[in-house]
Amino acid sequence: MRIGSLLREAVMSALAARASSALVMVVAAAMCLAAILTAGQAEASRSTIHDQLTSDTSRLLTVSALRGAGFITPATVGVIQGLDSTDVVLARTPATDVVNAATGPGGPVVPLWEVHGDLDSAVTLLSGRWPQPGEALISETARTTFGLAGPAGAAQLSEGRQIPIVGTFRAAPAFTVLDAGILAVSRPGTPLASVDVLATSLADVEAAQAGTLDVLAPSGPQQVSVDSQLGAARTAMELDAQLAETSRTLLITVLGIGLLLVCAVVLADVLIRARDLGRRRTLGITRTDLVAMVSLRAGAAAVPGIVVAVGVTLALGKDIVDVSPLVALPIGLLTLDAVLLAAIPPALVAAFRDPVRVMRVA
Amino acid sequence: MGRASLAVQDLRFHYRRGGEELYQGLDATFTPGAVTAITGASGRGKSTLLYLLGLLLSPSAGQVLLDGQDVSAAPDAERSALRARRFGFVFQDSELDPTRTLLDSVSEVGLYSGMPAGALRGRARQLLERFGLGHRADHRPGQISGGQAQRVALCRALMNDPDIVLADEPTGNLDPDNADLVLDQLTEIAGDGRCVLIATHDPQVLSRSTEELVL
Repeated sequence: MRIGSLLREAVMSALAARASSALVMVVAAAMCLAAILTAGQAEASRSTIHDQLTSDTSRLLTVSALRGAGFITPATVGVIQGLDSTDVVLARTPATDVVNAATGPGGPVVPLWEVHGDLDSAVTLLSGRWPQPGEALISETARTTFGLAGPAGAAQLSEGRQIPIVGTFRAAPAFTVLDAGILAVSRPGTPLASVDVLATSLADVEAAQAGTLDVLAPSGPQQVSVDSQLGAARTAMELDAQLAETSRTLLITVLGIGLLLVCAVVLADVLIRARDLGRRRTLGITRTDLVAMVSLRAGAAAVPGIVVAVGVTLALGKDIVDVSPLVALPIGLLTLDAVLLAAIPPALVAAFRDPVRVMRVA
Repeated sequence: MGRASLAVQDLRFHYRRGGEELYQGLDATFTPGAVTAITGASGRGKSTLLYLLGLLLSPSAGQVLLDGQDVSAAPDAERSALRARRFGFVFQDSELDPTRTLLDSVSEVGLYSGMPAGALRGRARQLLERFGLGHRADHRPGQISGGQAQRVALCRALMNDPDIVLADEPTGNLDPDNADLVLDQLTEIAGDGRCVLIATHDPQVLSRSTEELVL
């Protein structure tokens, strides 16, 4: 049979067999709805938890040099930046209290860090320009504290040295601690006390930590302190895998039960309509075409049910069913696949039934 | 001139292993252009012979020869294709799909032979017109008489312009007038050089047939 004729005949046949088509439609709708409400909802929850667990903060590790150890240098920072497992690397001095140079000592105080590394990845420039060595960016919070109208002015250190402010910034999610103050580009020779390393992914946190410590090579554990989310990252990955497995199992269970129901309905239909199918075999339909037609007929009957189920879950809104179209639509397609698959065994029964036995008039 | 030659050679068949054997080595050649009545007492295998000739059953022994080729042992897909393209079937109770229109029922065989969709409905409509049922094309089987239904079945049998028409008790459910009408049409079909084989024990059919095979 031609593909077009086969599809048309499947649809016409589904329309003609109203009772069984209605049953397949209802089962498919229930199956799709159940899959979306259980597996889909679980998948959506998993996705939310996954996003939370794999947030930028989880990928951040901070290595600090203790007791004045000088192993964090522009050179070592450069090597750490080159590691495959690292995404953003920013070294900084300890925070120093500064005041607005215009008001002088006695005015409100904000922290200042001198930094070296991927400043343009760690913060977003909101106004002004990127600073040169010896210049600084000020956060919106610190700007308000200083009472500055725009990205201009200067910060004054306790020893009286002033650092010009050339722009304002907002820190990236992993570096929000910096939103409290001012970032000055370090001058050559400035001793750096810590380095923040954002790993490329959650799975890379361990490698980033090992790589960073290898590069810095502190002479002993008393010289270094490591603050990382490695434990949390491991837990997050395990939890993510478990949740994914749970939603997969739920989906397979729901579709499996639906598959058996569709199989039973289509089997009953082909047994009831044995004469119709026997006539088709007698008149020359091949077994392959008959299997395809019975399967497509079940698919054609299922489509309206699946469309309704997907439509209803999406129409209910996020407050009732927190499932996005990106989850609901693939589940709809998966349900259709399951229905087409479920119809194959009964279709084979129909195709291999002796047409003479069902057609014979005694 | 005949369109196809159909014959059986040393034909034997039994439904169950060890069951009663039918035909016991039947040899027969069916003449193109003739209406051949296959007759005999009940249980002698009249309908079964039609199904063997129509490649729905395979003989236990012997051959069904179509144009001199043994087709009875061909793979199922090939036998299905031959049924769709070279055979027309007429059943005792017409066997029309009650849920589909007469036009759909007649078109059905064209679907299986791969006839293009455009040609399909035109040809079906033409046949219904030829058999005086053009105005009923969009009716369903429940809306027409038994005689008309059997004429629709004849239209379906002719859909693919078959070389061989196999009719199983085609007048069994008809009154004499309608039976006469159907037999007229089967005779006309044979006139085109087709083999027309009718399994029957109806004296009216026997009186109209040109050849007779008694089982």
